[in-house]
Amino acid sequence: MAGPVRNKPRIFYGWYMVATFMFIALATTGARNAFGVFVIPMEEEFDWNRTTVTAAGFIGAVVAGVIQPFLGRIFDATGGRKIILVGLISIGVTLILLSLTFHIIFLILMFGVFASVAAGGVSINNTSAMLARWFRRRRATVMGLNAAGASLGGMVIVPFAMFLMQATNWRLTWVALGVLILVLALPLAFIFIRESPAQMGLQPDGDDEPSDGASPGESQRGPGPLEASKWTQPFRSWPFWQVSLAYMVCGSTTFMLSVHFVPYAVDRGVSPGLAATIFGVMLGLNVFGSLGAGLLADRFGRKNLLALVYVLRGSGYMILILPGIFGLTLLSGNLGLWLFALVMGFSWWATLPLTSSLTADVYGTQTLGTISGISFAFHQIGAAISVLFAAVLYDLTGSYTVPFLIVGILLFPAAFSAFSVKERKYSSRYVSAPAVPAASGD
Amino acid sequence: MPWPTMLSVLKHHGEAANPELLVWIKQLLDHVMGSSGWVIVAAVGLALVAFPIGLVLFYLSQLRRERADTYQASSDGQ
Repeated sequence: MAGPVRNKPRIFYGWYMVATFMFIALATTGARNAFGVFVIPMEEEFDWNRTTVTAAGFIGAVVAGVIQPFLGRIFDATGGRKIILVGLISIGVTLILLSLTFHIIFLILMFGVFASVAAGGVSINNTSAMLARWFRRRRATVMGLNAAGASLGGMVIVPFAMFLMQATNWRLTWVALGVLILVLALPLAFIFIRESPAQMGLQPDGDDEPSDGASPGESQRGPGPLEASKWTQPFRSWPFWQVSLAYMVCGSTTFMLSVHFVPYAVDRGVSPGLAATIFGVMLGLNVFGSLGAGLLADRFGRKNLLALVYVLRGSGYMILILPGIFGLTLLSGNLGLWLFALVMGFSWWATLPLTSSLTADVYGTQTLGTISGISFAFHQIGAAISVLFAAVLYDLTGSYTVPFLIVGILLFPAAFSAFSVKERKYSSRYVSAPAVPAASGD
Repeated sequence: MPWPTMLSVLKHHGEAANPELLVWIKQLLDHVMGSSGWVIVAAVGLALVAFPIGLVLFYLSQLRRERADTYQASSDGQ
């Protein structure tokens, strides 16, 4: 009698992982981005000043950067599922506890420290590292989808929190955000997250197992020459530094913008409402930028596209700054701001799937959580330095022209750094597939 | 880092999302949508609930089909 025949799944299980991670990114990133919604009502209730309240957000950004390499290490050591589940429980509980806020120290500890550490466990770095095990051919595409989920989080959860707060109060809104994670994201993660396709008897990308003697497909290709089994190994190779230093410039250019763009636009004579609209359009375009970058990178490779994104972003900064310096009236008005928003919007999150997939291709997936975490720490260091730097220069010069010009110029060496990565030499995408020996003795 | 510089940074809106910006965005949404807060909360909330439930239901339906396919294939093989 013939045994049961197991057919190939109609839909590769990895796609359920992608959908789950998109929702997790949407919920967790959105909930953290919604912090700004709570600033004004909490200020009013507790009679805090703006500087005091924003300290929690600032500390949160610093903690998120510092903690990521350590959480990445735990992710690599444990396989990932546990840290994601614990992270979701922690962030959900922390958000609910924020509804009990009674003192600024409580807010700083809960949001600035606990929520940031918990969010680090479910960060895009970690979820992308897990997706890298599930996908090789479509690695950048799925990482782009993951990033798009985070980008959508800001667009969906922040307005949701705004209107919920209008209808109720800030305490209930914190509870709702916590419940959203505990009741929706956590069960989804519990049901769908599997650490690797091998756990389910599958191959990356849902490919068939290579039959005896046949040439394996791309998903069965061997490791690249720099495949890392220890997290310290990448420090001794060029691609890590080329990618991470470029990523540092990336962090400086995006954070400086998110913090200083609206005040800058207002300084240029734009109404606050229009500045907000331009900024909103920029955030909306992020989704398309990350999706497009992922799709294109799987087709044309990572490093050239990454370099192109940095060049585009640098050009955007030049469009923003140079017309004012050289007196080009057409571009120094609103048109320049809109052009900048267009270029910046598409390039904002595009670097994430490109950087993550390139790192995964070069160093493999064994220590990817740690390596990506360290790269992310570079990103956050760049972010912190640039925000401080812009604030100091603004106070010294009375305008944002000089700091924006400097970070804009830095994007071109960053592009060169990305472009000079020897992707064809080091990436597993270009490694010849090892031949599978034919079964003998039959 | 001198403390006055830190404070200067915080005055430059160091939080996750600029609160004034969010107020402007909300005014913009109010203007565009013209709905009450609860309608928007309900619509977004429904979409947020629908996604995970829809994903689980879709997965279960696929699982059922695969099992049916497997059963069919093993019956054909007999």
